[in-house]
Amino acid sequence: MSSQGREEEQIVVFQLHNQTYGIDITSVREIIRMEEITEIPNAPDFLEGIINLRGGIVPIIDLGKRFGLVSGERTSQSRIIIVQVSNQIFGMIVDSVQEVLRVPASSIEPPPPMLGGVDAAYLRGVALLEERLVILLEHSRILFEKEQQQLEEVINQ
Amino acid sequence: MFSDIEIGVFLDELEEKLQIINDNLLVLEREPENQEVLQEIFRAAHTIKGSSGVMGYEKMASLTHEIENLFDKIRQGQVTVDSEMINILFEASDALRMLKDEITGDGVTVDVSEVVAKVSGCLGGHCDTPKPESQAPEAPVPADGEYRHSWVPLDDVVESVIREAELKGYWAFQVALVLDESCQMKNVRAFLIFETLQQMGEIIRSVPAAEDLQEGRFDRAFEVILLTREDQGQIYNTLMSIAEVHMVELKLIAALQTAEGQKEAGPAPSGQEGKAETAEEKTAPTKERGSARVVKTVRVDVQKLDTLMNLVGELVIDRTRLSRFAEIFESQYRSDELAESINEIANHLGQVTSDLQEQIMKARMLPVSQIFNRFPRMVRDTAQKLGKEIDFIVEGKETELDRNVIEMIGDPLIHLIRNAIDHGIETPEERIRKGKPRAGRLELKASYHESHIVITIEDDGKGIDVNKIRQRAVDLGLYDREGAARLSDREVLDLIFRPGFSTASSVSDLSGRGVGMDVVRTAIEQINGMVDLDTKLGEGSKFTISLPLTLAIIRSLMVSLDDQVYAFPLSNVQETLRINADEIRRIGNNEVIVVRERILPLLRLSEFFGMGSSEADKLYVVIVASAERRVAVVVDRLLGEQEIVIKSLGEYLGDVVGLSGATILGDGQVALIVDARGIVKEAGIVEDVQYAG
Repeated sequence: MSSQGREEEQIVVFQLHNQTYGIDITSVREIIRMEEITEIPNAPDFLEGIINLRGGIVPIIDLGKRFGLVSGERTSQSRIIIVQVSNQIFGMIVDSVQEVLRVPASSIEPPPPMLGGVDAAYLRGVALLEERLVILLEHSRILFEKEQQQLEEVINQ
Repeated sequence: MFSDIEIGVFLDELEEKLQIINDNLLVLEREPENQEVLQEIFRAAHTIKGSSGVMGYEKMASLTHEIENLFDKIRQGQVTVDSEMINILFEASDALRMLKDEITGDGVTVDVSEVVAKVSGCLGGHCDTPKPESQAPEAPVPADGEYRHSWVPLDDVVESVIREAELKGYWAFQVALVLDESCQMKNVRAFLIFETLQQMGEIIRSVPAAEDLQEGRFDRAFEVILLTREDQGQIYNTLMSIAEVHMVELKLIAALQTAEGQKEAGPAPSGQEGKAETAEEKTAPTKERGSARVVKTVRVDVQKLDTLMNLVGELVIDRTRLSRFAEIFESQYRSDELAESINEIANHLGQVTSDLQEQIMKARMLPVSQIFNRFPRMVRDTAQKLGKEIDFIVEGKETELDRNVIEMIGDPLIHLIRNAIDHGIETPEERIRKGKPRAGRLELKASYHESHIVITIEDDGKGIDVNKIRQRAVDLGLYDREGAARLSDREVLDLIFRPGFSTASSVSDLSGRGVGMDVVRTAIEQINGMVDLDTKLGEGSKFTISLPLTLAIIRSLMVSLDDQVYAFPLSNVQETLRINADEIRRIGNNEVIVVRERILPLLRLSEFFGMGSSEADKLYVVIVASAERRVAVVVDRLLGEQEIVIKSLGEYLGDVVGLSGATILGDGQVALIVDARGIVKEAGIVEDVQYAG
């Protein structure tokens, strides 16, 4: 799941709560504009609902809320990054998507214990790029931990 | 070398001939003198022999050669058919099927020399004499006779496990294995054998214990008890195909001691097929043969069809958008030529997409004969084992159902049929005492009924004693005596489907119909079907299963709630009403309404979904029914009926209370499908209160 061992990796860089985050491009399926999201009753708070992605039902999470932050305002810059982890596809709402960067593996540092209020469990590391600090997400942990366990069980079978 | 297409043609023909052999063997058992049947089998065997010979499948050619020889002798009256011969022939037909699996790569390498020898042994006119405890021939003892297995006796625990498993449709076998003397790594071999057996069923005991076997702490022989749905020949052949297995001995354990059945069964109480079936069998294959040559088929992964279906769904959405665009265009430019062209395109696209959708739907449909064809043989074997005589009648095999539905319905049907034979239909002696015909009648029918397919399983056996179930409900503490007495017969019968309602110990009391019925109902409801039971004491029982034609598309009632659209599957909707707020009454903390003198619990969907409720004077109510229970569900607005394509919410969301899926509307929006069963269940607590009051 992690991309250790590669000399360089490509990351999709996005903004969330005035912070710059990055996610490994190999897990990103596509990036779409905001669209109307169907709410799921009795679902966890951070689960915004589901959308129709070319005939498939895809759950959408509010990444800010998932990190325990307040939900950001939706603007014309807001995007949904569609991510695939194992065989699960989900979308995460971010404030804006900026670019795709190449990051040398050597510039990635392990995450400091607390960072901008985001639980370190979601983070893979921090990269310093041209004076910019990019927080790298461990995409496989964004789902429920319980779900994650189930996924692993299925995979290990 | 032969091309894939040629092999495909050969396999298609082979399958057709195997079916003919199997079907006709069943008839032959009943009518050993029927020349036409003999002729059919002879011809089928002859054809297989010829084509398999050409294709170079030696084993199949030699086995069919023996079958052909035997039938030639029978036709000429030199050999007479007896039940033992039929058993051997069934074994041969199983072996042919295994050879087919070997060719397609779905099965293991098969050794047919045993069964070839058995068939040719019949040529002399006398087959091996059967052993009383087993309906299929015993696996042969090696010629040198050096090893004799003495079976380890069963204890109570094992027996009760077996009994339970048999009720669920499993056979229990004692399997003894002896490894080659030269076998180097006994433990590894034993492990492999265990693996193989576990693919066919479940091992409930082994002697010596599994740990000892894995450590190699055994001589050359060991014994296991296997619960399986495979038959004896299959297990035998599979085991013998493992390297270094010197000898395999199998013994069917008949734990179902149905009173007098077992003793009086004798060596050959043949399960018999009814006249109706016989007649149909004669005509059906001919028809199929006629068309089979013309229809060319391709095997397609179902997943690909699902993807196609999704893509068509996309087209449908675009079509809707295009027609809306055409309308706007028209209103702006009036009857401009361009506007007309766009309209035309939109209409044509609409037509094509509908056709496409229908065709893909049809591609997923298969006739129920896919599963029904397995049953005559199963009924025969089960009846023979239990010492019962059954006229088994099958109708409506050509009825088509969605592939996924067909896959899901197999197990519940097996269960119901086995139950009917085991507990419904009496032994021949008992039937005669009651003035019924000697052979019990079991009917399996499939037919269309509007947008549903209805499958019925009806027997003319004992029926179910409603009062005994009432008593049982009281014993289990579900109701007090008065409460139980107040239940209608229909409500009482519904208790049978409750999980854990019946236990093994009550099998004889309740004629065992309760065992596993909850599993049957759950399986059927999973595919949006319903199961109903009618029974008359002493006259028989009838199970009616109604199923949607397809899992993918259902008709539903669309409603709105807080600007979001929800779909109620129409199969669960009884009616819709508009009521005034002052018609709502209260029982305790629960709201109810009275509809035609029946008190229904009222459920506000917005509250149920945690969205807060609106306080309108006029309310729209959808009456939802599931398993004899009704609940009035309050929604904001009714939007009308629509066909929807069901989509799963996906693993990530898992089971959401009150929802069974989602669908995509014409404008691309997602609507949620309400799980009517779940809602009724949630609201059911209220109803119980009302029963008691």
